[in-house]
Amino acid sequence: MLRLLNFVLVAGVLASGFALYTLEHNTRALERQIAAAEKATEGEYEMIGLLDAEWSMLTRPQRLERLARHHLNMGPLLPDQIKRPDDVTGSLPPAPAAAPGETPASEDPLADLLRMMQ
Amino acid sequence: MSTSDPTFDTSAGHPMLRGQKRLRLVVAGFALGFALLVGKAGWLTLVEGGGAQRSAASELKVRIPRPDISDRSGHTLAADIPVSSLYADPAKMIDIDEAVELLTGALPELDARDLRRKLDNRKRRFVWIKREVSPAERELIHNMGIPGVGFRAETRRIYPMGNLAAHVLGAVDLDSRGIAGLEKYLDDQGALYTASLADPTRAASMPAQTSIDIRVQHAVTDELAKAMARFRAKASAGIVLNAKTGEVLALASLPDFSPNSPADALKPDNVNRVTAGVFELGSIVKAVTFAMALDYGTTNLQKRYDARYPLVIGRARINDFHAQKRIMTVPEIFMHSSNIGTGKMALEVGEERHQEFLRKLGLFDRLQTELPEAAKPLLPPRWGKLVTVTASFGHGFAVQPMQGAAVAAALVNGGKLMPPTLLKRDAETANALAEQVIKPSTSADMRYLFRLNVTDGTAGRAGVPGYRVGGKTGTAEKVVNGRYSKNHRLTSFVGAFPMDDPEYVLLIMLDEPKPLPETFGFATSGWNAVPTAGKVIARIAPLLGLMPEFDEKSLQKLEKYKKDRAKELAKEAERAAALEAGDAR
Repeated sequence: MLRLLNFVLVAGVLASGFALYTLEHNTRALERQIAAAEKATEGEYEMIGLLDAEWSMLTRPQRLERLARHHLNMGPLLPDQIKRPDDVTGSLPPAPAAAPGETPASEDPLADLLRMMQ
Repeated sequence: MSTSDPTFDTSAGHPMLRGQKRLRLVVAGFALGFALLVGKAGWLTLVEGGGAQRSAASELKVRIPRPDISDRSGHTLAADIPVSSLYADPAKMIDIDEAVELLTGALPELDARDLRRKLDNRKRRFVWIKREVSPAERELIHNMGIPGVGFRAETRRIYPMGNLAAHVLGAVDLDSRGIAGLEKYLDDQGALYTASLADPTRAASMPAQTSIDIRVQHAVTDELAKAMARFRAKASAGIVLNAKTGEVLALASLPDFSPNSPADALKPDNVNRVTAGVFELGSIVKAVTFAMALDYGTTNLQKRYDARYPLVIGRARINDFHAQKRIMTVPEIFMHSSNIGTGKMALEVGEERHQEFLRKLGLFDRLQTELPEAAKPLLPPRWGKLVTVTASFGHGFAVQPMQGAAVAAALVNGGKLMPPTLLKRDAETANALAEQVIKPSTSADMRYLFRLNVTDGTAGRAGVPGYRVGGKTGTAEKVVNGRYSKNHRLTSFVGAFPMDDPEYVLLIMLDEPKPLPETFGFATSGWNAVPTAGKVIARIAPLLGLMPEFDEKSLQKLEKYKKDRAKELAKEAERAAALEAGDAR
């Protein structure tokens, strides 16, 4: 009776010990994984900050102005160069009249217009 | 007597029974012990472990983390970047000669003799070898594996835009504490607040967002710099204000500095003239006098004033700069900037009410924006009849240019005075903060006067066809050795656009511009500050998304404007090319 109890207890200890160590091992592995991920995240954030600063340095208006003057054949905007959509419609070619026999007015009038202009 | 002899032990009964009892006692003891352990473990994991705060190993950080600062559309204006600094522990070094050789090989700028002297001192446990090592160098040295050499993580504050908006941002010292501008403002809110904006993981952190629009800031700074060079002015300043919210879109003061070298921030010549300096703004103050007289109802746009003779008060005689020597209507007085007419209008209102009105506009108090640099107005010690007259055209009292811009915004936006801010603000908050200082009808009259002054008056060169600019010029003589000097002037322009419903207010100021041959020897505002303002508006109005609208009159002006502008731009390009050629040499 006592021997059986002892055997059961020893088996229990071994089993629970094994379970415990497996669990702990897994936990440690997960912790390492988390730490690595956190470190990587922090690194990424740092990198984002760094790239942000670099982007901002590369797009500073002083530099863009110099580059634009150097490489673009354009000048500063004049007030009458800004147009409304209404101003543009006046300079469009007339809408294509549907030729006889052809199916008139397709789904996409703009595409028709482009085809006409070609 | 020996207890080991069972025959003599009568009290304990049967020996077998006694052994069993002892076993039970031991089992019970162990069971109790284990129960305690299990209980404790259970308590720790189930009860206390519930809200487990995993306290990460805290690193001792000397520098306070700072939030990034960005402009209104998110461009980074200031950022903390991580850097590594190289240090050595001489006590742990094995071979100093080898270490010196390797280190100087990796970092050629190090001086071998100096380094050896530093490392030879075995008693020291810590010496800096180089602060702020680049990532590539760090990798290289790390791979050498020199014993006793290590890196320490630090951050460094950088300002990627360079000098742009330097006066807004301010600067930080070596220990990352703000010493000027918004950086100081952030620190004055408390280190905790500053640090909370810059959460180390940054997942939840937002950059501190300013109201500055960096493109507008550049346009203003650039045009001011050109004007300063052209008119050989000592200094200049410019403000662009959102008339409806009080947000500062651009704040420029030249000469400026680079926040990347913070020592320059505190040089007296680099002071922020917009808020840390007070100036006699001259004739642009007349707009305030007009608003006052119209608001109290002592005058109206049809009323006439006699400006034929100087205004005599006691022993002082007030003259006009552009003397017309005739009877003028109120709009004419505004357009010709008549001191006599303005003085008479102020006298009609009276000294008491004049002071009361100026106080209501906040011109008697120090204006405090987020910037720690704020100067107190300089006021006349006693207020009498003569002071009322001189103050009506801006002589004798000096305020921050920022105050001038804020008041101008109130005059044109329907009478709502709101404190200017450098942080983003929406219209609702602004309205809650606003104070009605003049009637909306008075504001409408002021808009008419401002616009008239650009279409037909002294501020014509500020006009950009299509953008309905309105404004007032000012030329103040500076006090040199206690007297007003004819040759030292401070010229200014304050304006708003589009005038039918002003969105933006602009103030430009030039300190001691010199006359040029092409300005026919004049150095008054109309020849320098006003055209500068016109160029600024031409550049920023499209950036701000304003739609030009033309009527017949502006279409007529457009052709001439385009020709003039093309000429100007060609000249500017020439100058820029000459400058670049000079740089290349």
